[in-house]
Amino acid sequence: MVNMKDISINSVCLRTLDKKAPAALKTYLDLGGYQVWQRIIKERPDPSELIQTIRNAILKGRGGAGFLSGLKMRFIADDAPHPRYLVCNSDEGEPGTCKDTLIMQYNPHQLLEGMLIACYAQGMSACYHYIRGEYQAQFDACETAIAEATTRGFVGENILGSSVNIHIYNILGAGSYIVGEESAMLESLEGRPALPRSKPPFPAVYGLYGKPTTVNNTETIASIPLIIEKGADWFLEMGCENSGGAKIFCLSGHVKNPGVFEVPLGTSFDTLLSLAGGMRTKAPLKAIIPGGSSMRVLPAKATKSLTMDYDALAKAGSSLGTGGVIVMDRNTCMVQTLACISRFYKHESCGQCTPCREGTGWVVRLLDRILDGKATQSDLTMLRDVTNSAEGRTICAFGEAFTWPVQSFLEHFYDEFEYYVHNKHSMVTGCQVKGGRDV
Amino acid sequence: MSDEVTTEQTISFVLDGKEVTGYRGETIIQVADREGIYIPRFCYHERLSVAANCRMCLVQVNDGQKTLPACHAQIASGMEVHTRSSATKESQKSVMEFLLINHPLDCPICDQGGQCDLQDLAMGFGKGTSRYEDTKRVVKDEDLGPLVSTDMTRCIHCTRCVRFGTEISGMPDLGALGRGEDMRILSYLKTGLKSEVSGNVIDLCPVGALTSKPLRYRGRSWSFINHAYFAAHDCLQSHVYVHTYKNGIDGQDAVMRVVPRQCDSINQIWLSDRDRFSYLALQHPERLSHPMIRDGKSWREVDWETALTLVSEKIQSVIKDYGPEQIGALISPSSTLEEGFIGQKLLHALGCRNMDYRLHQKDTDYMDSAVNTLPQEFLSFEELDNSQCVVLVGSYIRHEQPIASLRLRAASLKGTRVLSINPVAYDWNFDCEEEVTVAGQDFVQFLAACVISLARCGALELSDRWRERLIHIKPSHVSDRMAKAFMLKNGYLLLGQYAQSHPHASTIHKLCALISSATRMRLVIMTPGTNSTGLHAIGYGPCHRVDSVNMPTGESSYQMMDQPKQFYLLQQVEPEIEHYDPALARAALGRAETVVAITSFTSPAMLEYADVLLPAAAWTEFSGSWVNITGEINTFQAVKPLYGESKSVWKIYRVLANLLKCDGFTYHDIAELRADIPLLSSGYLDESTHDDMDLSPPQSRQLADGVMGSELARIGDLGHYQMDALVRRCEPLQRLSASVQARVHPDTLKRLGHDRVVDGTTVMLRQGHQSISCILCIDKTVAKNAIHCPVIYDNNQWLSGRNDSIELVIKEASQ
Repeated sequence: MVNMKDISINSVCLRTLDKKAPAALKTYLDLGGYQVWQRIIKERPDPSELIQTIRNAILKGRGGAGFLSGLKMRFIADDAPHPRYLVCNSDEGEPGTCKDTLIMQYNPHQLLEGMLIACYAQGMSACYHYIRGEYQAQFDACETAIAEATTRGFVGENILGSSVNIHIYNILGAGSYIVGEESAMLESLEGRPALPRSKPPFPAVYGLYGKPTTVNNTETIASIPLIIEKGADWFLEMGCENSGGAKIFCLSGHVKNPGVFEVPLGTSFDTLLSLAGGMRTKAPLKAIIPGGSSMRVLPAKATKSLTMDYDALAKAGSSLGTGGVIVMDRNTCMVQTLACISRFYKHESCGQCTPCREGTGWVVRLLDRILDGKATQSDLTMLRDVTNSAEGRTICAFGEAFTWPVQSFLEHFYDEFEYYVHNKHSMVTGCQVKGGRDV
Repeated sequence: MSDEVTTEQTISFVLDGKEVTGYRGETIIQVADREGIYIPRFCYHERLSVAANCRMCLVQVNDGQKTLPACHAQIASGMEVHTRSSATKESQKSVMEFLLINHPLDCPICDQGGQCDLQDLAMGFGKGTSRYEDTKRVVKDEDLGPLVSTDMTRCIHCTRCVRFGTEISGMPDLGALGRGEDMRILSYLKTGLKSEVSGNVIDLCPVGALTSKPLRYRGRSWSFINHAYFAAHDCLQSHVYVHTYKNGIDGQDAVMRVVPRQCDSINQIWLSDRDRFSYLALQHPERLSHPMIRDGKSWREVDWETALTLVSEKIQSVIKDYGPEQIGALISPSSTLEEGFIGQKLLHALGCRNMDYRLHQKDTDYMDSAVNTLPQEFLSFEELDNSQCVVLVGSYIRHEQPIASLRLRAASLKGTRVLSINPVAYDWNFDCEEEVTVAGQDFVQFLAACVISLARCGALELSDRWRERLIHIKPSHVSDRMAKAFMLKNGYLLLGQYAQSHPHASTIHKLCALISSATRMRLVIMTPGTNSTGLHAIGYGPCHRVDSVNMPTGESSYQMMDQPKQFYLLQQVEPEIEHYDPALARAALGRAETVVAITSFTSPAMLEYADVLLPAAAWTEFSGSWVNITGEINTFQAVKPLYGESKSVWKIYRVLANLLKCDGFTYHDIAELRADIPLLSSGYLDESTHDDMDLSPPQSRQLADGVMGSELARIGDLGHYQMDALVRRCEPLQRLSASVQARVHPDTLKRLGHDRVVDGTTVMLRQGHQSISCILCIDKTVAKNAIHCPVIYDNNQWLSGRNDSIELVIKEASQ
């Protein structure tokens, strides 16, 4: 059993969580908040120094792709035209993920300070904070935070009496999953349907309104103030080799206490599971999806001595993704689970490009056929073929998002699918789910 | 130096094992197309933005197994593109399979069958069989109006039609709603297609989702015969292909459809709906098939000999009884050079100079004085594209020349500033930077103010006589702004229908010519009909000097009706609609002793006023030559046999001349006739320069006196689907025409004391003795002190002068 006291939890983005009135400006100021920002405004350090610190801290993108944030900031060339924009991506839509909501609701000032530092470091005077359509309360919290910070002169025109102007706008989305894709978000901000753009050009060259733009995840941005305050080494030390800092994991599924835990990168899966109180019942672990439903599933045996960081999960055959860990015990029917996931992706495909528009529906129909007990062995081959046909041929990464689950479920649990096809009922539950609508 | 730049901008790479070069910024598909290597595509279209959504053009680049869309991937130095590799083929087969799973595969009953990109590419790049066994998607059809038929189940979501609306036509009629499998192409508000170039989506649609409604189920593309021809409804003469079908309708060869023929200098690959669908009128019940003569109140079919003998006898008796000046000839501005030339020659031989094609005009002085030259310059769309500024003077270009409007939109997107001086703030399909909305007399005043503003900037030196004429004109800040725009580097002043039909058209023209002479704005008159420029160039008209003819000046179309004649010869015109003053024309024709109409169509009014009807070849049935607004001479051959007993117009004139024993009419074929026309034998038309234009001030002491002095000015345009006999009889286009309303600015009503009148009230409009009743529409886009009331096309209702004064009568009781 792991000793809980050895783990530092909620030490970066969720550090206000145990405070009274965690979202209040005073709480954040008491923790030393906005001091970095005040120092920056006073001393005006070279922006490239700030970016170098973030690079040295090896802060990786927390939105799913895990791209080096410091490097992304560098993509905006020094001579890139103005205005440039920062977009904070709070369209948290990946099933299994509920981390950005907590940052916005309980630590909005740290997020705000992160946006301000990021804007300063990249020579930007405006940041658009795109918040998921369902997050009305979180939107309100961010609005309050901006109002509070404005009265203190931290944000807006002539910040703290200087000539620095940075405006931050909270935008409430309309509730689509694909708008979390960075170029779709830019389309939505410009007032059009959220259809991902073809790349290149990337946002750093042609972003919001055609201007150089950086799009970062909420958790990434909220990590920045502490990196600048405590230094790159502190952050790097907290994490593991090749990844700095802590990551928020959202544990859901068959655990005793589902919840959100910010733990250092490199923490073992077993520790994370103990934080959630272990498995719900005596039924043993069957599989996990480590980074939101679009990531590849890992069978229980792959979680042995697994550490939760970018490299280890890639090595294990999946990805850290958003940190939404879905835990499944022995009583889970993998056929029904996959059907459930695929239906989500069918519903959320933007419909713009052919493989995704037609492929998501085809996958769902094939899975429904299996659930209805009308499938044959060749349908399983076809299921794999369809996903192979679509993968890598779409405009955005949605082509991978809906194909990776199918491919990995078939890879690790092919026997269950085969059993369902031959016996017309689930190997686990023994039932047939008519039309699959019951999952 | 220049060599260095070129090497820097060209990129060489390997395409299917062959070293090729392209320019920086080009995409793989562009270079491949140039090199003759075909890459399959649906959403990509060279005239539209890149969407990269069909994914059909995926090709392998270098050794990677991930394929890139050739329409979006830019070329890079040293890259290797494989369009036939197994990775490419696998990608394309996969995409094709996805495209086909929800496509109905109803090719045998699909109008697109045989000319369908999906059908062709499925053959070339597909797997041959489908593994999809589930039910296919069914999508509810859209009603897009009378021109475009929909089968949205067949749609493959390439969004070409959507991009056409947002990018090319500027009227986003269609859009995509819904997500994923439920994404649908539709007209957002169920309004159908409102654009006057909507038919182009039929050509753009790569599948059978959008097809031609009039052509539905009427023929297969492979049985059509393709003929090059020219469109007949505006001065651009868009290049078209006419598709005919042998024994198509009632055993006769028939025109089945008209499609654009690529011409980069005019219509590119687009076509207006008017040009595309007006062929439908060729089978209209009013089509005249036999010569007819009046027999008391009824009509009798006769043979050509009888009819023409009768006409020649009538002409001789009119000349004997009243003299040749009692003959008046009105011809269509779309008449060919050959028709105009031989008609004019015959009239001259008879000693008559009363001939005109400018039915829409009252004031023709500026044209009549432009002897042996043109009162304008030519339009070049290439130069328009690079213009700094274009000013529309009395022109609703979107309706008058839809294709020119598309070109203007393209230019405006590239940065050309568009300004408008019009009696109505029209709904443009481009950004209009400055709109000056003035009516009637103010129109002339405003142009004069622009001239004064130019003079004040020092750009223009006014002669004493001009200064005297313009003494009362005060420039405003608006005219100053306009003058600044005129002084930009280059551009065009485009004079439209309203400017030409204005009672003081000559003054407007002179002021514009003056502006043009002082700046680098070229003056172009966007003439109605097809061949106004050509007819002017060969000297057709009452005043032009023609060698060997020495006769007093004749009368213009307006004068001919104002001082009625005993004998009228009408060629392909319906003056009761097309004339500047329909009521005047109708009365004069009714009083004449003889009216002979050489016409393709009859009308109820014509059957009342005419005495002899001679069936003439209609569009597609005649050969001839036209001159368009860019100065090109287009000569073309008939593509369809003559309808019934109709004949080419030039042949009717020739026989008539022979019957009248005139000399010099021995033409055996059209080639001999052409040899006699200097313009066609030289094949070159001189462009006028400012030196040739008469820039002296108008004769009258005041700038615009008399007629327009009254309280309300009418704005009476001839709608774009009313402008000639063919479109007036094209039923689908007529269904798109709005009913006639009297549109008035609310301030005008207030000034007249009609504050309480509401929208939709039935009101009376009166011009002299003529009055009609119609629905009132309160509309802020109309200039103050004006009533917008288009020409009415109804045998029982006439108003007078299109842009003359008008009275508004509102009966309080009727409210």
